[in-house]
Amino acid sequence: MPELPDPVDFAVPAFIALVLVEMIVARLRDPRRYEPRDTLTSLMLGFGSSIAGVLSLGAVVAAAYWVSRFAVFDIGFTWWAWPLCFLLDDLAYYAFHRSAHRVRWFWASHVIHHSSQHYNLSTALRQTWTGFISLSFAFRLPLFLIGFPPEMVFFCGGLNLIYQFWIHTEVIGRCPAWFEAVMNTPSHHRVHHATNPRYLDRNYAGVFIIWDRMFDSFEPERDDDRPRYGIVKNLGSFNLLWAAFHEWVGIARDLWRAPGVRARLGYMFGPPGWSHDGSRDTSETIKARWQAGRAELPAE
Amino acid sequence: MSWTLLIGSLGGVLALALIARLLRLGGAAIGDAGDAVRLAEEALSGFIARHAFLSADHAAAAVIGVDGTLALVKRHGAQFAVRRLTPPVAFTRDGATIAIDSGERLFGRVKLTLAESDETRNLADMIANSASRA
Repeated sequence: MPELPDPVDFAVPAFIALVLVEMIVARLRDPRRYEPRDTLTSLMLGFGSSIAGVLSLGAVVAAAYWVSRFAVFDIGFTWWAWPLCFLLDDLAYYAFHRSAHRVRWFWASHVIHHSSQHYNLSTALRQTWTGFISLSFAFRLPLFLIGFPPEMVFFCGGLNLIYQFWIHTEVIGRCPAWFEAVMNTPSHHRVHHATNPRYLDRNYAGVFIIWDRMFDSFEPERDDDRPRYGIVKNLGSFNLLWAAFHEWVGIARDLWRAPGVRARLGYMFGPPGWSHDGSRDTSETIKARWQAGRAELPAE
Repeated sequence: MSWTLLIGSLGGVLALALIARLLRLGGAAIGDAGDAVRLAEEALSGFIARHAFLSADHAAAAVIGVDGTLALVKRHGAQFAVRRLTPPVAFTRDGATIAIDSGERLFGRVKLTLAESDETRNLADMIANSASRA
């Protein structure tokens, strides 16, 4: 069994260098693409996420090996298993990511990544501190159950994370059509980070955009509807702890005030924005209101 | 993760934040009242603006909706953050300056200094009216 390194460790210097390059480009083209306090918050969230990852690593690895005991196949480190593992790990990421936007318990962790109103390479590093609490690792368990070695799955997961770094930029417009058709790109992922009603809850892909095309969650970027980044209710604060925990605080407050078990379950596992009295907006209500507004516009 | 990588990463984080400041990145202003209206309508689903009060420093605005509701727009770094205020809205007035409480500790109070104190009085009246409609 080979000892595999964490590829992300090797990528960190490149991450830092590329953020620096993008900052210089921003200085030359549009200084508003970066904001020093936002950058510091994003990078400190990334730094904290690395520490949180190390702290929970033991439990995640233990779970992986425990599940591997029940593996259906003994795949091993054969050559064809690598691309297959990478592909299926990306599918698992799609499932995780879609759930992270549709279930508030998962969203409470993932919202951190979306809470910057900027879209630059520092946003890519804006990662959660509470992924373990929201059980994000559970989405990879089927791969261990199939029989992929845990080391292989973790290595492919690291490569997946590295790929997703470069797509967090406005510096790159559109890639060649064949690439946009198959791969997740800056254009596709700008849509994912946008709060425009048209773009809400679309393009969940990690590496391959094919999953969104297959599962009907794809939306192309349009030049006449430029993405506005952030979350539906932007934080309006650069406070690091508030960025890391605000949705968990929101869940706790809602649970305290909720009338009954059904409402409590809804506040934890319903879609973000769900409320027992319908007084808040979900992405569905925002999209429906937007569609209704468009229907009322006179035809050109 | 080794200590070297941990300390190196933290050093990289702080260095990048410092460089962003040295490069003087960021900066934003609300162009005019129309800009404030657009920001409020884009941020708040279903909100239709009637009138906007823009602070003289172009850093904040209060936008009144057609239904009398009030939206608060403030500069947040190089972007803008918006809140739909829930009546009763707390505010204080001092000459041409009005400080509106967003109702959220971390969003804070937003100060608007309007061009004329008449305008400030109008805004104060509208905020008070929004409370009486609630």
